Amino acid sequence: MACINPDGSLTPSGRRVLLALPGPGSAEPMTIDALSTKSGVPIYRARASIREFLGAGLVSEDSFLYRRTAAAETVLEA
Amino acid sequence: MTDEQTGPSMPRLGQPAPDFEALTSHGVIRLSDYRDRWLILFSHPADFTPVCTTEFIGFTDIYPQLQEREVDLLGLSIDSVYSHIAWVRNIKEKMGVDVPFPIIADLDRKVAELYGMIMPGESKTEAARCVFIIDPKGTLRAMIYYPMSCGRNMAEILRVIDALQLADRFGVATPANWTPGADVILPAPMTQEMAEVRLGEGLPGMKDWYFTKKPQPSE
Repeated sequence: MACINPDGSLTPSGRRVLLALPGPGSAEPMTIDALSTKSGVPIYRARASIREFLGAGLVSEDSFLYRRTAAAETVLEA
Repeated sequence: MTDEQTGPSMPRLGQPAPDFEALTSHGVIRLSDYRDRWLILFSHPADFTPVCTTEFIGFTDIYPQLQEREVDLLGLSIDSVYSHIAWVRNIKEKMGVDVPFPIIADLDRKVAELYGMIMPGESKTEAARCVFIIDPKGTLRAMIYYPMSCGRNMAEILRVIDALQLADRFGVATPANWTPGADVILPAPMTQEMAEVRLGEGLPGMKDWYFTKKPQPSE
């Protein structure tokens, strides 16, 4: 949708948001507010993007803190 | 008629704005995505129509001022997302204006009916020119409904935003024709005791126990 193309590749804005998140296993997962600030996308886009990435398995969530998954690294390298 | 309505619903001021998830020109968005920000949700009758185009130019003109006030914009019409994309591209090409906010593609009229945007007396298939101002807690604070033939006034929309934010910040009300910087109104006393207290305060802007103006407060 807004972040992920039908073929599974990332849109430019999707890549920007995903790269702004900490990597898998990071000791410092990120809030959505911090993601909005770091990526430069409005808060509503950050929330919608996280929802899309969670659905696609590219982001994991723990107590409203977020990080990329290993699957995200594969998509980013593509 | 009972409180249970049949057919399209009508939102109420002071109550939670009806939640929705919708396809927009910026992807799928939920109303709750705008939590903690003010939101202007507005509808227009149709893409590629002249009055609506002037309104989109107007909303884009005030967008920086809205952002300064922590207010986001979300448009809606009963058009496809492809129409929205093409229209926004057309506005940029022909008018030199880059529309920055998303537009809901409400082809199934779900959001339009939830918010009472369709006025069958004007059109059974197009939304009227509606504006819904929603606060950071998701409460609907103001509604403006304009007919098809009459483009909205951006200065008035900004004025309402300023008035609501001032009211929330300082607990004051704003009189008719108020503009930023002008005197504000103290809410009227709600009990006889409070009325006596107000009379005793001897405030310079008091005309009577229920009517007191004062200079607009600032930080």
